[in-house]
Amino acid sequence: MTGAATVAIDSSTERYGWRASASSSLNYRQGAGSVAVPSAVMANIVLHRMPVMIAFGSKLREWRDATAFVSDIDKTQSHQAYKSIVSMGPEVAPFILDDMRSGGCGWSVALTEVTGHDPVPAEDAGDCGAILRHWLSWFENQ
Amino acid sequence: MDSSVSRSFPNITSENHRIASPATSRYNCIAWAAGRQDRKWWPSRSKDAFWPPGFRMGKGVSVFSAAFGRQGYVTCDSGALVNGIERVCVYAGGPLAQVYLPQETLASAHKEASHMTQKWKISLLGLAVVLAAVSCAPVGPNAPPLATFSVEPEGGYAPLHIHLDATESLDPDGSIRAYNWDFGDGAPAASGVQCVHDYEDEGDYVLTLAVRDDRGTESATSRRVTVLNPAPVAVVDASAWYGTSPLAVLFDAGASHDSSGEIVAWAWDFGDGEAATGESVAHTFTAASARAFTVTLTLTDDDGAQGRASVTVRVVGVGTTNAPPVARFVFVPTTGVAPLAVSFDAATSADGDGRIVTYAWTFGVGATGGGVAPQHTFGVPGTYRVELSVTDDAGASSSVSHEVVVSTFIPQPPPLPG
Repeated sequence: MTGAATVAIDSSTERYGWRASASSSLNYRQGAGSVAVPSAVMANIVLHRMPVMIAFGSKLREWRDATAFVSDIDKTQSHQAYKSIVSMGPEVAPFILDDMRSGGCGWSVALTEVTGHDPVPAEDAGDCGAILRHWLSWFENQ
Repeated sequence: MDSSVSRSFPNITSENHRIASPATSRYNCIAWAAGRQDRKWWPSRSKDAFWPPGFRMGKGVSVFSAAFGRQGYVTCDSGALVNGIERVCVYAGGPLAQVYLPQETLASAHKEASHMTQKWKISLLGLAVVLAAVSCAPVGPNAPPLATFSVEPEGGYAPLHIHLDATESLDPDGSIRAYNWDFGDGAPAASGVQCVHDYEDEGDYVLTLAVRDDRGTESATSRRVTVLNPAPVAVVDASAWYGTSPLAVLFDAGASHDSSGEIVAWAWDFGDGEAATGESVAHTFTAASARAFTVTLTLTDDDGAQGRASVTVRVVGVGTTNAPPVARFVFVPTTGVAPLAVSFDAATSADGDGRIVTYAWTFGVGATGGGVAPQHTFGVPGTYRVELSVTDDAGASSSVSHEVVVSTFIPQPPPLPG
């Protein structure tokens, strides 16, 4: 093992950064197995992902503060902070999934915007747990 | 109060509200009013909210009334309280119903309803302040209460005094009417949202809280409390702590104690290879010279815990024959002209069964000295008898002497011819 961390890299999901995984939020895969990642690659990951992570965290707090007691889902998803998160593009997807794993809801619209796909069937609309499972499955199959 | 709550509800105070369930984003008030807590409800095409299939979308009150109708609600005949009827109040903007059922009336009605197994559910659409519709339905299935409590401390040594607090327990659709505590140690059950209990003996106890809500539904939760057995405290008393050999000592452990039971075994190690058992024991220490003995008492209580204490007994004298020390010294130079400075060293002197405590020197008539390595200057020519006397720690002494020759003149060889 070299470098400071072992991650897995998947070229097919490279544009989404860290690949979605039900077991870990820090999997970065290549093919079917994990590989040792040199420090330089880790540094590259940190340099490119860190700004997105920081920006996401900031906007997430702003969005939650503003919409914690708003039941109108359309109003929450038209909030400026939510739109800012969507504008971060595909690289924000892993951070959204991390928030969903922590119990966060309301991200299906954002994920659809950044990926161009909508894997959630109508019967599971509004069900945060089911929505997370559908998105994780979709990322795994990319 | 959570700052986000006070920020979103400026008129809220600690007296006029109660947080009844943990914050979650998994469902919203519309879903809750409809009896669902597994997803959000909203008349939207967003996949992040559910809306009954086939029902109209939009923001009008009629949209919500129709959706609640799917859940079995009908429009209320009046605003009067009826036992066994659950009401959902949907607010929307507009002046119409401001006089229909003011906020104060709703507040008092809700308070009264809690005693009539009647529930009001209120949904706010945006910043609406006006009642626009009332839907009624028979009271639905009762959600069970959630039992949770804290225990402080969670474990410790017996006797363990604990404080229990169940104020975090809640009932999502009503209130908790009874708290019942089972301590798991055979003690009588207790009631009350808070209570205290004492565990007298060691063990792992399953502490159970059962709560019952205002509709009779119970739930329970348990936690394990570990009570440890404290070690006994060993206290050693002795009839003598020092003396000459042979030294007879009576040891007593009667002041030892065990806070959670009784002491059942006493084991003594006298530090000289001998051992004994019993609360009080006698032992005789012997030594050819001064020596310290470490005496260790090990106690065992009725639960198997052990405590230890050690003391030191010193044999300070000797009752048997003492080997005298051996006096030796060397000196340089051994001869010379006056004045002659000579260094003496008695480090090779020794005591086989103790140690030398004093070195006494005489450097001829009238001159004396001390220490292991003194110096002395002989100013007058002559032959001097230097004597060393050493004394050991038992008082025995011995001496040795050597002569030092101090000359007045050393003849110079004649100069070589030529």
